[in-house]
Amino acid sequence: MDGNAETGTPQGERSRAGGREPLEAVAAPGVPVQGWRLLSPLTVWADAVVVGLVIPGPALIAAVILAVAGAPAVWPLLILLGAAVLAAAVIGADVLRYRRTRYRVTDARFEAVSGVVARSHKSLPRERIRSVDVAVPLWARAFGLCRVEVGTGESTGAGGALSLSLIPSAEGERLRRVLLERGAAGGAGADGAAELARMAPRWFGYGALAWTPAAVGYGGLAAVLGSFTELILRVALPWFLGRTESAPVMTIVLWAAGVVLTLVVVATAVALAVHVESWWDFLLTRESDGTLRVRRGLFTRTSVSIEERRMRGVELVERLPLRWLGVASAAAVASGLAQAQEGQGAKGGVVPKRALTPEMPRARARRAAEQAIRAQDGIAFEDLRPHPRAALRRRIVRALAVAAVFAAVVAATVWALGALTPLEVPGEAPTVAAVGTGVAVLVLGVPYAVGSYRGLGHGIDGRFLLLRTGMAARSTVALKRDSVIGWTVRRSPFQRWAGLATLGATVAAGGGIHRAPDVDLGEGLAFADEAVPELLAPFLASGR
Amino acid sequence: MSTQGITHTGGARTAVRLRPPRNRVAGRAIALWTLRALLLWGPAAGVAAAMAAASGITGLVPWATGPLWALTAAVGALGLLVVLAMPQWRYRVHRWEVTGEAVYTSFGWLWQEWRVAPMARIQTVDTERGPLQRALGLSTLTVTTASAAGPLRVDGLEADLASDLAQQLTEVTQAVPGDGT
Repeated sequence: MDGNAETGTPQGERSRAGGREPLEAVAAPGVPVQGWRLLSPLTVWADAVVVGLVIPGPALIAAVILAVAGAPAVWPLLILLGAAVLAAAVIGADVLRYRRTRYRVTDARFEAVSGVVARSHKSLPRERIRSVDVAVPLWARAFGLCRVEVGTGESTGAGGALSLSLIPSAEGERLRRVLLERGAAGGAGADGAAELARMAPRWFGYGALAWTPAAVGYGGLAAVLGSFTELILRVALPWFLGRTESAPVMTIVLWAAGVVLTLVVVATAVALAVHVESWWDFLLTRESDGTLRVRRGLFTRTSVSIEERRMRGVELVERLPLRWLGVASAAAVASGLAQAQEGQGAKGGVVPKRALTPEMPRARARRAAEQAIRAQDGIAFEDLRPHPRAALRRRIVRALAVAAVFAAVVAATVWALGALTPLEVPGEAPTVAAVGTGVAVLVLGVPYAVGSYRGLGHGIDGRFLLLRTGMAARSTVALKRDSVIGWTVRRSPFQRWAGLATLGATVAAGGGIHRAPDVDLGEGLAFADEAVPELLAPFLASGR
Repeated sequence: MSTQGITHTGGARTAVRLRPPRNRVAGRAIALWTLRALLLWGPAAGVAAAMAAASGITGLVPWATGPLWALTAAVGALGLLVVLAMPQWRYRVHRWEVTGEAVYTSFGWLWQEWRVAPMARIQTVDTERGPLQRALGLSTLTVTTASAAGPLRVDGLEADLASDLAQQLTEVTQAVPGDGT
């Protein structure tokens, strides 16, 4: 696996390294072709294990149930036969897929030919490759295999990504090294990787309150409860009501509290499990080939590589309620990650590819972010300029408007109940309901408005431009000033009235734009002009 | 650098504003926007009127007829307001400018936006013409950068001017090395 296999092309073939042979030349199944490599033969076995686990199980259960229920013996046998045929078909298709997939790395391109019925020949120019991600699913680990996904980060056009499933782990590592080494930062040499951040066991606890794991936990619980609605309503509830009919109020309250507590504990356990699975043995390193590398995962080991020269900035994300505990996570603002992120969902990952760290104490996340972007002297994430009071006024007005709308809707509903249905609704009920709703919304809404105003900030620190927004999820993004490739200034009628504007810095990464909502127009323009000299200057005029 | 590097621009509070880009779009753009607004609001009002008329004739839901006519009137009035005011307003806002270093546009009417992209970061330049624009001899020029957000779009340019501009911008950006990121 070295020598000219490193490039997959003998020296003599260089002249046509970038060209494409006709498909037929490389399409003969299972036959080694010069320079081309196959997937690992173990792929078929690894996939067969999955098939063997997934298909016969339900079939066996169904067959046993039928047999026990006294159906004629032919039915269970038919089911088992069907399952066997299906499994054989899937494995057979996998054998074909294995035999007809091949790839190679030439001097100029990374190519793969695949497809059983419709053949496809994908070819990525090597200098456009932005990411090589290696994932080791649990069933592949036993065979020493991995899945490799090569992406160019192109947001448009076909052929942006190419994946190989599965190849030997060593081969995956070799591909990662070979395909990304062109971006090598010269001086680093082969002295290996520098560790920037590593998991500490106590941080796993944050998984209970982190957004995605908690959403998986509570969402899963809701789905399970939802599918047992019938059972709960027909059996559990009457039983519970029967038990508590004559019981004292205290007992009922205790029971209800116990149920809620149980649900919370179960959801939290699921959330923790998801978090541990995602971030087990997390390691953030700077590799000698000029990439940042995130490795993590318990069952599915994942390795994400981000080229340093694609880094446009870093983002520090603080989500409630973890922000109250001084916890944050860091993410990369880098080009070539947007598309990779979309593909992520299908593979069941809960962590976006741009994540650099899990939830961890803010100071640690901050240091990881600073090191990731090579800000040796640190970045002034806190020292930001607040936005004008008018921005606070806008947020308070929004909270008031929401309260008014809610109050009106509730009052109208209560009034309609009295007027259109036989229900007895006292005359003052709509007013009381409106006031109650309005106050309730304001009690939550005004602190939220104040919090989101406090969240606003912008500043310049050395070679970075800082923008902070958000209340529930507060994000402070530090962009390299030279990576800002344009400005947008947006003003709604209300903003024009208040002398405000929403300033947006466009970058070639992620969503493409980072905004500073509700800056003072003049101050924001001066800020933009200072952050990126000469871009905006010709279009500025002084005086009102 | 973490502390002393910060620079606040407090003194500049009221001093700076964006000047409008130098060039207006073609006058016929007003007709274009008027037609577009008519195509949107006309059918909307038509559908509301048809529903009201149907309700009145069939008498299936007697209490709905009044509100439906009210809805028709509201949609019609709003549409008329938009059709009359929006194109003029838009014409006053929509402007563009190409300098040696950057492309600068402003657009919108109620919500207004200004966009700047440096010449060195431009990736693609295209013109497009819908049926309405072809009929009026107009064209839309779109300039994109490596950013996924915020392409610069100039709506309602003279068709010849738009293709000349596209040609000129393409030549300039090809002369600039790098991939614009």
